[in-house]
Formats: sequence, C-alpha cells, structure tokens
Amino acid sequence: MALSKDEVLAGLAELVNEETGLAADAVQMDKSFSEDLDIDSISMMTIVVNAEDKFGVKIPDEEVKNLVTVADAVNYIADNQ
Amino acid sequence: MTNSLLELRDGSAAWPTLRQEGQTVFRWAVWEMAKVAKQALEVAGVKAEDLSALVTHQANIRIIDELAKQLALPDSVVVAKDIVKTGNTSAASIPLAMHDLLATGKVKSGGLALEIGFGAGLAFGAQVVVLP
Repeated sequence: MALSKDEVLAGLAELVNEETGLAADAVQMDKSFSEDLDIDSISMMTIVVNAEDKFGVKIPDEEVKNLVTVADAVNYIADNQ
Repeated sequence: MTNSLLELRDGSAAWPTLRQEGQTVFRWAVWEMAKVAKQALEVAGVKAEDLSALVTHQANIRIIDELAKQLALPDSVVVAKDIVKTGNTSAASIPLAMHDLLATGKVKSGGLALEIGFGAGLAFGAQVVVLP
C-alpha cells in the first residue's frame, strides 16, 4: 500500500533523527540536507540505505546526488514505491 | 580531456581530476562488507559474541563505526580504531591495528579476531584468526 507524501516525510524524519539526532520537526520539505540540516555525504548515504529498507524503494548511488532537499527525497521515494 | 588549457585556467571547464566516488565506496564498504564479514564468521564456525576483536582495514572511521554497527557486535568485542592515530596506512592497516590492540592490552593473545580488508579494485577479503 503506497504511503502518502506526509507519511514518507514522517518516516524520513525518523531516519534523519536516528542518524543525526536532529529533531524530526526540523526535517521540512524545503530544507536542503547539507546546507540547512548539516547532513554530510556519509550520513546522507546511511539515511538513503535505511530509507531503502524502510520504504522498499531502491535509490541508486547516481540518484543520491540529486536528492538535495527533503522534498527531492520524499518525492523520489513516493514516486518509486 | 577535451578542454583547452585556457578554458581550464579561466574556470569555464572543470579540472580533469581523478575523484573517488565516496558515497558509492562508503555504501559498498559498509553494507556489502557486512555481508562478507558475516560469511567469514559462518565459514569459521564462530559467532560474533565469540570474538575478542573486529579488525577492519583502517580506511575511514565512519566506515569502521557503521560497519561495526551493522554487525551488531556485543560490547565485549573491541573494534580496532588505529586510524585515529595513524591515518589510513593502506595494506599495513590491519596488522598495525592488530598490533596496537595487543600492545595496549585492549585484547589478549589467543582470542579470536575477525579481520576484514577492502579497498581499491574493489577488492576485499575476510577471515577469523587467533590473536598472536
């Protein structure tokens, strides 16, 4: 059963919190992972792998660099469920 | 390389440097090597809790930390982090890290260690050994 974008956002926020300790409510759609949330490329990859498990979606390495904002990631996950 | 020196000099083309695909290597070194590590334990007939130490190639502390986390090792297993002192010493990193654990008394001779090396190639290998 496909998740809504809000559900994907909530799930992604949990993963960000687990990896970085950032409060889930800091993970908003317009935020850039690196510039606003200070998530480096290694933490980003950990979040991506965990998101693949959580949402059952494959996120190839070449796609990861396109996931600049939270919205990019939420939309990619939601569209590829 | 198809750009002129003037284009490179003036910044209208990127310098043709060799770059590591860091994120790809990180993903492989952690999640694929975790599978290899588990396979080495199985082949040796050893469980994670039987180990005294995990001695990985000392490439990057973030790889070591995440790989150890993926293996869900009990607290009794010492994870070698010699990289903090030596940096990445390439093919010497595993023996140096093992020597450091023994010399500083963090592990004892006779205990079991899971060694796992990975790097350029991408090549890898793992084995369970008795600490000398």
